[in-house]
Amino acid sequence: MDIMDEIRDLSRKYPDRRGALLPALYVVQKEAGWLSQEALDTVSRALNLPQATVKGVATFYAMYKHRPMGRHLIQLCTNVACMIMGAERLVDLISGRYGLEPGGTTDDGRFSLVIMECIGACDRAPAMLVDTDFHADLTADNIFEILEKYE
Amino acid sequence: MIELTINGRKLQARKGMTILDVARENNIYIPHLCWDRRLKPYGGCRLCLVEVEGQRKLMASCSSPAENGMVVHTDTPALRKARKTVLELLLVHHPLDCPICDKAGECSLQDLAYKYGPSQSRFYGERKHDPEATSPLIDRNPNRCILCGRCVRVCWEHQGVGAINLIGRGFKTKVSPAFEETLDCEFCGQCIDACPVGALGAKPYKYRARAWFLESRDSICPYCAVGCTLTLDVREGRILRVRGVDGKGVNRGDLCGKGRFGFDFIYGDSRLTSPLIRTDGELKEVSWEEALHYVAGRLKAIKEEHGPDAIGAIGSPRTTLEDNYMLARFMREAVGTDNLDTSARLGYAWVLKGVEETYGIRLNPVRLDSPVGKDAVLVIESDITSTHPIFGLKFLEAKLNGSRLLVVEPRKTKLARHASAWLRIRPGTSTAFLNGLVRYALAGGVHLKKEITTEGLEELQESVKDYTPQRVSEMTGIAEDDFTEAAREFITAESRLLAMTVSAAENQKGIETVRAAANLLMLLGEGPEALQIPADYSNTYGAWLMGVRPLGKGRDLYGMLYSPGAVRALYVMGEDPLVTMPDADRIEEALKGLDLLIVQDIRMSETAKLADVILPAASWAEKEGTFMNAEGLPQPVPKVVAATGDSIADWMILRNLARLMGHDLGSMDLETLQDEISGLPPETGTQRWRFAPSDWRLKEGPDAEYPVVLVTGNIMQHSGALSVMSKSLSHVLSDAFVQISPEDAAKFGVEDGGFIRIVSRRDSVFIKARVSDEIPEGMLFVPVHFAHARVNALTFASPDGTAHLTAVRLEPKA
Ligand code: SF4
Ligand code: SF4
Ligand code: SF4
Ligand code: FES
Repeated sequence: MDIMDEIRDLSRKYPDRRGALLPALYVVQKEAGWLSQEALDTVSRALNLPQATVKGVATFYAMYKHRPMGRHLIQLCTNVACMIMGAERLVDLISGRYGLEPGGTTDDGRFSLVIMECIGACDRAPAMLVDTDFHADLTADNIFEILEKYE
Repeated sequence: MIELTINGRKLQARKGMTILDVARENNIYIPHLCWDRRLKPYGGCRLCLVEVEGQRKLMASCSSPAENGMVVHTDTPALRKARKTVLELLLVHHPLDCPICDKAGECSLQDLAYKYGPSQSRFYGERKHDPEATSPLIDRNPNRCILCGRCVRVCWEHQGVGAINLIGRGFKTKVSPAFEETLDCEFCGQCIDACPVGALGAKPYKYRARAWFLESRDSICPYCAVGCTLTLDVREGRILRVRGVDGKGVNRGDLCGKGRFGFDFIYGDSRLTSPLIRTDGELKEVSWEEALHYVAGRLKAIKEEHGPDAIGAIGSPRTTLEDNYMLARFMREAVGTDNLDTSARLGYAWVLKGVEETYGIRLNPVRLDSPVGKDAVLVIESDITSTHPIFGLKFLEAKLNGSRLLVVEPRKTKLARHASAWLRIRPGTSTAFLNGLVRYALAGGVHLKKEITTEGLEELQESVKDYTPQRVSEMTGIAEDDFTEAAREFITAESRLLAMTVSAAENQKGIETVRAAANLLMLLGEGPEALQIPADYSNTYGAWLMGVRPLGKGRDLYGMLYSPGAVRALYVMGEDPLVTMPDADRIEEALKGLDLLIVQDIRMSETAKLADVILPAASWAEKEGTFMNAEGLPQPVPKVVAATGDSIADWMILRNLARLMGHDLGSMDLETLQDEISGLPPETGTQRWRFAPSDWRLKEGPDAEYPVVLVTGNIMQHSGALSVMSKSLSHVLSDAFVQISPEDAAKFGVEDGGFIRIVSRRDSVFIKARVSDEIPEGMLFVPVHFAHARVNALTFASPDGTAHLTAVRLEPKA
């Protein structure tokens, strides 16, 4: 099914076209990992919403990316609970191992690292999302075991 | 009924009102920045906080419903402190550049900071967006933006455009088009009036004046027949800016781009400053005395030699009631002829004729808010948001309030984009569509349940019998299912409205469309108020009422302009037939064959260039008078600035001329004139319904030789031939173009921006092509405004009032 149809199908589940905007943005982001101008334009045409409406909403939420991302997106939380449980040390470790600064992408395009606000897993801090997979109780020992699985 | 107490006053409220609504209704002041009467509550700025007894939190009054028994306080120490804090936070990154900001003196943030707040924040942040420089007319400085979102919401919720948004989040948020591109929108400027601070402004006004030096006067818009109230800001005798003021006028503060930016046509380069007489082929400046003696002498001579009926006149839908009334009296009394007409003959006259043939009444003014609250609203091949922008907004409002908006239209217009159902019809076939609805309604037996007339019913039944859904689908290009679905919806709706425009600038509808629409509505038991067809321009309706048309055996426009040799002298007041009327070559021939052409205008029009005598008229805002809008509402137009050069009001010229013709019309001043006008017998009439069968036949359908149809019309930023005088509006668009579908562009080898030759049976023109998916295959759309393109040389006049859609072929320029 082409992406326009996919979005249009999706929009039928919502009371109005605006309602379908967030999920539609996910649909196009899934394709390339980020939202290019073309991707936003696709949403705008599929939902018959102005480009400005689409872009405004897309830039309001942190989960939408506006520049190309690595093949895998690491979203690590450093809010209070995770910070106390050593998240910042994990950031340093990741940086050291992959040469990856927060907000950056590795040269080989394998990983992008984004520091997240709370992902709601304080009870099992520190925690992160890799792409859509959830990982918690992270330690200096298990973090690379997890990350190395993502090629 | 809800009862609540605000500041100790017991007040009543209706369900659905917010605390702020109640306060405003009772003149209780609550500050607000993000609230806008026209928009849904937003609750973004937190300045409208109030204390409600029993509630721990302060509440945003703009988004809190008034409830029974509420006790509200709007001004307490806690609130003052809260407001101060809110303002302080707004000032964190607001550049305090009031000394160079045009908004200073009328800025809500400035006023509120003065009233409640600190003038500087304890916190400091800075934004370094570049002020936007490339967009026409709309000046945008995002650094001053307080992110109230009013512009964004007005643009989308109210205007239905959505050109701008708040892009990004937090400190970096910036009001901007999606990709920071140059604005390409309607240029209505509604966002400017909505902005409480100096982030958005009118470019033509930039750095022109401090707000406190401006003098404001209300007037009526000179462009379309909506008749919006404009607030003119004047400094040292010059209009610098036009605003809409919330709640004022029939427009209640809304304005379109023409009204807001188009006022500077009065400062156009082509304004006439002195009377001119042609001697030895050259136009020479002369005194008023000389000019009027000359005109009077020539007119008298022609009258003596050939009789009064050798003289004719054309009035103006743009000049005042007084001017037109005086023209009618001048022609009937001083000259003694009934040869008199206006451009309404080519459009609105057919509306009135159609209404008279069916409903039996002679006038059918529109009601601007009529679409709101109707179950089904049907718009027939008309771009109402372009021709009558503020009336057009009411269709969007109706849709927002739950009406089904059915738009039958070949072009992807704004209404088509917002329609509940958009039926993309083949241009010029809406009469067939309506006849199809009539047949469908008859077949369903709807009319049997209503007490309607049977006069003409049999003929009607007979005339529509071939318009089966299948045939209609073939004729109109609308899928059969879509047609029957729309038919069912419109016919079964509880309440309904049918709207369109029929004007001199358009060629795809005619009297047959009006008849078909009226037939349909009568069958459904709907009176003439369900048929909304507005007059075209600021005073089209008024000029008609003033009798600027043949009342007896006189020649009408067709008889004067399209019958070369029929009259020997023509007096043209405030009209440019060579540009605004179809079949320019024919008109040119008629004008050139005249013994005497007198043009009385504010500018050197194309028609004036052919004249023997040119009389300079004072323009809108330079003279006092009255416009009558499409609702039939007379509205005063004041004199706000001095007349240009030696120009004087049209009515005065005619009065003076009458005296020289030896015929004193008696009306010495405006007051007596206005008394006379208000004493005119009102046009009355009682409805008497009868069906008027209306067959559909195109005079010039597409064929093998001329395979494409050319539709003419007005675009959003222009209005007839007048608006092109405005530098501001020309800044958006000043070049003629033709819109062509991507399919036809490919088929005929036309490139976007390239020149093509359009050939009709009458003439051909070179014009720039714009490839646009707003246009369906097989159609061209061309705006009528630009004289240099002479697109009206392609079209033809249709003296029986039926549509004069023009078939053409295309030749890419080699
Ligand atoms: S001028 Fe009108 S259409 Fe353009 S951005 Fe402003 S409100 Fe929107
Ligand atoms: S530009 Fe003006 S109206 Fe628009 S969000 Fe900013 S402050 Fe509000
Ligand atoms: S052109 Fe019409 S809609 Fe626009 S401001 Fe003037 S009267 Fe109003
Ligand atoms: S006016 Fe109520 S929050 Fe802005």
